[in-house]
Amino acid sequence: MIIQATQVIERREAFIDTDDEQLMLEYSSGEVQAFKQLYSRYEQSVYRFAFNGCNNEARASELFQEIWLRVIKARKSFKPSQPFKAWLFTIARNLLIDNYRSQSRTALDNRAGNDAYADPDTLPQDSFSSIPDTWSRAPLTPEQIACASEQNTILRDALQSLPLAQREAVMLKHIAGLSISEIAQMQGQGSQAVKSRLRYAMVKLRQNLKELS
Amino acid sequence: MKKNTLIDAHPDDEDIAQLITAQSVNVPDHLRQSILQNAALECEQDNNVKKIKAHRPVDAHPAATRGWTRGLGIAATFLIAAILTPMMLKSPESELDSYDTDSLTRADAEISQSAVSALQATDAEEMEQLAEVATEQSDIVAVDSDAITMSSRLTQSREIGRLTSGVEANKSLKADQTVDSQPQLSASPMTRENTFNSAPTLSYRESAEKWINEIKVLIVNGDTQKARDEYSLFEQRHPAEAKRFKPDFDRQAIDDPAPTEHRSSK
Repeated sequence: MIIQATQVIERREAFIDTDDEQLMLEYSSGEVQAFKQLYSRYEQSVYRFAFNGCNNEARASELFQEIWLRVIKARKSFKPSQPFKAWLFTIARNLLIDNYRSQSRTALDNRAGNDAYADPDTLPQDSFSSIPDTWSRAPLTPEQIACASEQNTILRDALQSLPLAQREAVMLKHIAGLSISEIAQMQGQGSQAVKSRLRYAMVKLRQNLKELS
Repeated sequence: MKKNTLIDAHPDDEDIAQLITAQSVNVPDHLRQSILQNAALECEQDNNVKKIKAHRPVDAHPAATRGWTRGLGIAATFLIAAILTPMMLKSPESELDSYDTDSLTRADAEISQSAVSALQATDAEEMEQLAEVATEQSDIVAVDSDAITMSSRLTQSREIGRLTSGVEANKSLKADQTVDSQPQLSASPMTRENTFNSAPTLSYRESAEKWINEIKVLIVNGDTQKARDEYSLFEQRHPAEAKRFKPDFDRQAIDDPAPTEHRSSK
């Protein structure tokens, strides 16, 4: 037992300096310690991304679990030529968009007959901003209040007040830590458009923080 | 108050970015454990598959494939043979070959069998005829050397007739019923007459006197029919001599005593 524990510790230490792509390759070849190393690196950022994206702890937990399960299932299809971080947050973003769409359908059902809410698939990307606004104005649950600090709650509320594209750009830039070009590639926009979004998002976020605080 | 102080004190983007980055969240432990367990389970399954592949003999799969391929080949061969064999047996060439072989074998058997039976029949008939001839000529042979000569000539003619009948019997091998009757036909009186007619080399026919003497002997022996036949031939060959020699077949008399003399001289 002692020998096995020692071997596990040695392997875990051996993966500390290994880059993300190599760790993913090691895990896809059967090394579970590599996955643990990857998980420890991105646990907080992925969970923050999910939590700030949906502003619901229960839903964030489901998204968080779904993101990592997809990573596990798709380990054989991972190409080391692409950055692991961008790949990971692409999965997270797609799941978050799916969550938005399912939530928007629920909202559309609740607001039947309102022409202001069309099918989200036909709307331009910036028009998604109107959908999360409905959630941001929703009252916080007791669990949210209990679990999150007041500052984090204010920050999430401020983020939720942003249009979807701007909020997504802010989250990918400051939570995921992606570069402008990676965000641009993920959103299908140019780098200047992403910078502009980020600038507008910061101005609006500052205003929201002042209002909320 | 603290939040307001932070935001108001650092109103630039870097402070807001730090605020977002420093946002602390607590991931539930059950999520962490569940995800890590899933990852370990998937990894273990991968390792088990690798172990199974590693422990599998290297030649197991190719050998199985080869065996399967070999079995399939054998089955295909049998199938093709089962299909082609009846077709080959029904082909015109094979029918011709089998017909030729069978017919030749049957014909050979028939020929050999009929030849043997024909020869046996010919021998038996010849023996009977020879016995008859010997009986007929026994008296003459005893007293007349010409008769002996004639009987020997008859024997020769019988031999020729036998060979002729043997050839005829061989020609009629396919007719099974006629095989036995053919030698009898060849040994019929017709054949005998033909033998007489076709025996111009008889010694007594070389001279008119000997021929007349032979006719006289036949009359004396009572063989009137043979005497008449000989005389008719004699008339054709020697018309002038026939005018002078008129035998009396009914009385069995001899006008010319020469034959007696001739006989006694012998």
